[in-house]
Formats: sequence, C-alpha cells, structure tokens
Amino acid sequence: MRRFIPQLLLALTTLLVLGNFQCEEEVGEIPFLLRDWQTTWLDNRGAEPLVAENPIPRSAFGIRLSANLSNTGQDTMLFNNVEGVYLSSMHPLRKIELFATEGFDGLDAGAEISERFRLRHSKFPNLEYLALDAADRAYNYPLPSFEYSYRLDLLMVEPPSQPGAYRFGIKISFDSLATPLNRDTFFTLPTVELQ
Amino acid sequence: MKTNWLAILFTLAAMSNLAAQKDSSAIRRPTWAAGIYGSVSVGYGAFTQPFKNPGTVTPYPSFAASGMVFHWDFGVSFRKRWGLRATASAYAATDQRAALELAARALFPGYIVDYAPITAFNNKTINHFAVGVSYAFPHRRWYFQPEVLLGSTEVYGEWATLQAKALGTNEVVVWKLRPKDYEYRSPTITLGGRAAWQAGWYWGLFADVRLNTMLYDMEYQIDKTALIEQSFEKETIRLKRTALGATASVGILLQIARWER
Repeated sequence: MRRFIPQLLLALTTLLVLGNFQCEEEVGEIPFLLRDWQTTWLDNRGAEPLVAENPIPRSAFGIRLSANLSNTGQDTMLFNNVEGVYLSSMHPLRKIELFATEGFDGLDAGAEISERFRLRHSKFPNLEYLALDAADRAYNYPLPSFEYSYRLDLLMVEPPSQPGAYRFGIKISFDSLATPLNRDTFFTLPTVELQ
Repeated sequence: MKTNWLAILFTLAAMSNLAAQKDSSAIRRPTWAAGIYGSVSVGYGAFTQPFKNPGTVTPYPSFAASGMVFHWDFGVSFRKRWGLRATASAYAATDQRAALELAARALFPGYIVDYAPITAFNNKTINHFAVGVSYAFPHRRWYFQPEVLLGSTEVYGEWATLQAKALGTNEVVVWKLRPKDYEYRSPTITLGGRAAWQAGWYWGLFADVRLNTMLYDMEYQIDKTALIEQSFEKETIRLKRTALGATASVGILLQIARWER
C-alpha cells in the first residue's frame, strides 16, 4: 500500500490543480454605446404599437425612441447570441424627460410632462408600463432581442383632453459620473395631430 | 383361468389408476393461489369535466374527456383471500388552453387577450398512485377480485399570465394566476374489480374495471394590475369540485410467488 502513496498524492494534486482551473460558466456582459437617435410616432390601437403618421388617436399615442447600438467604435455591434449574455450600457442612460413644447390643458409652454408617459417594457411573459423615472434597468440592460437596434416605446397614458396639434420635446440624459461617451440629447419633435 | 382373472384385475387396476391420474391432473390445474403478483394493463377511460366551463380564468386539472389508460399493479394476496394492492396509473391529458383563452376573451370584450401559461404543456398524461385492499373470490381457474384503493391524482397547477389590451387605447390589464400549491395532488378513491383467468401457474389474463372519484380543493390567487392606473387588486379563487372517472382495461398478470394450501 505504501508504494502507492506517491501516486495517490500526485493524483490528488492533479485533481486539485485542474479543478481550480476549470472554466465556470461565463456570463458575458456586452457593453454598448448608443448612436444616431431617432424618433417616430406610435399608434397603439391594436395589439402592439406600430409606427404611424398623423393623425393618431390621443388615447393610443406613443413615441418610439430608437438608436443604433455600437461596441466597435463604428455603427456595428459584435454580438454572440448565446445564453447568459446580456447587454449593458457602457455609459448609462440616466433619465428621459418629456416636455409640452407649446403647452396644453393649462400647462405652460415647456412644462415637463414625463408623468403622462410610461415605458412599455415587454419581458415575456410580463408586460409592464414603467414610470420613466423608474426604468433605469430597462434603459441600460436591454433584452438581447434588441440586438442591433435599441428601442424605447413611450406610451402616453394621460392624453390631452382635447384633440388638436401638439408638440413635444424629449431630453435624454446620461450618467455624468461615468466617462462621458454619450452626449445628453434634446429633441423637439415635429407637430403631431392627435384626434 | 386364474391367469385370466389376474389379467383382468390388473387391467382394471391400471385403468382406474389412469382415471385417478386424470382426475388428479384436473384438480391440479392452475387456479388462484395466495402469493405475490404484478400486472400491467391497458385500456380506455372516460372522465367528467368539472372544469370544462370554468366561467372565469382558472388553471386546470386537464383530464381528457376520454382516452387511453395504463395501469401497473403490484400486490400480495394472503391465504384468507384478502390482499394488498399498490397501483400506478397514467391517464390521457388534454390541453385546455383553448377553452381558457375563450373564457378569458369572454371576460374582456373589446380587448385583445393573450393567455400565456408560464410552463409549456409538456405532459401528455396524468399520473395516479394508490394503495388499498382486495379480496379474491376464486371459481375454478377464474377469480373475481374487488378492490378499494385510496390515492392521489396529479393536477396541473400551472402559473399563467393573462394580458388584455384594450382596442383603440394604451390600456392594458395584466392578470397573474398562481396556484397556492403547485404540486397539488387530488385525493382519489377508487372502487374496482378484476376478473382474472389463471392461464398458467405463474401467469394469467384479466380485465379490470375501476371507478375513480377525485376530490379537488385548490386555491388560486389572481393578481390583477391595470398598467395605466397602476392599480393592484388580489382575488382568491377556491375550486372545490369532484371529478368522476371510469376505466376499463385488459392485461396480463405475473404470479411472482405462489403460496399453495
């Protein structure tokens, strides 16, 4: 028995060493930047919000913010669609605010109306309407299904009381604590005709 | 002459011995005997559908109205004809998603309703386990064996989400349905009988008839959220119902051990 002790020790040492170097299942974080913001109107009369043009029913109105994802410095995104991989904003989006550019329902021109909108966040099997000031995770950890395009659907849950022409402004702010790779952005959207 | 008489006597004796042997073999034909046995059978069953039209959105014990059944039995019979039996059964299941979707749509007229069970309907069968007592009434190579079994039947207590999107507006209502006991099994009483023919010393053929009474007492919680108003409401639904089922099957039994008298 004694003569096997060195071999046993060697085997145990090998197991310990190799065991320590065994790969754990990696959870990959894919950082991204957002480039080339775009906005479109949404009509949510049906099952899903669809891109629409004027006029749009007030009670089904929404705004889609979209951008290109990039992690290469170009307008491209290297992405392996494997489980455990998630997208993570390189420079977190901190806040989205909406403004009534010309005012309505007694609101002054330029008044903030972010509370009248919600982020439509669909994470199967759950659909959520997130308040814009409580949607950090949805902004910065988009689902892999977004892949190359980044999309936020903001639905108006408290529409103007009267039909008419309205103008909205959007301000997108990024976390100032991180390296400022993205710039805060402000859009004034074209006039929308709400029925 | 004496020789002739002896020959006749010998012949008669031989014939009577042969006859005796014949009678003896008739008595020794395989018949019911105490011992240990196992059996398998396949057949058909019909079940009542107490949840067919729930009237509200409820998850489901999804018995098919009728379908194939399989039974696996294991038992022991004692010399006084009483016995113990354990049985495992598989019944045909059905997918009630369509019925539930219809019920959900009826609840939300003017909405687009999406009903999504969290887990898929992978199971095609419902299992049932029971133990109980039996008693044998033997008659020649036949025996009739009534049984009373107590056990439990699998119930799918599945999580589900219902989304109802109002046509023409951004309004959405989300219901999350969850059973109190995901692993719920309904207590089940089985009354049955077996008519068996002892084909050999260690095997036989039989037909089984069983009547099942399944007692359901389940509780589900429904969390209702209106996404625009962000209002939240809870509702508890208790389902206390009884389902009946009848199965008939034929199979083969193996007598693993025989305890002859």
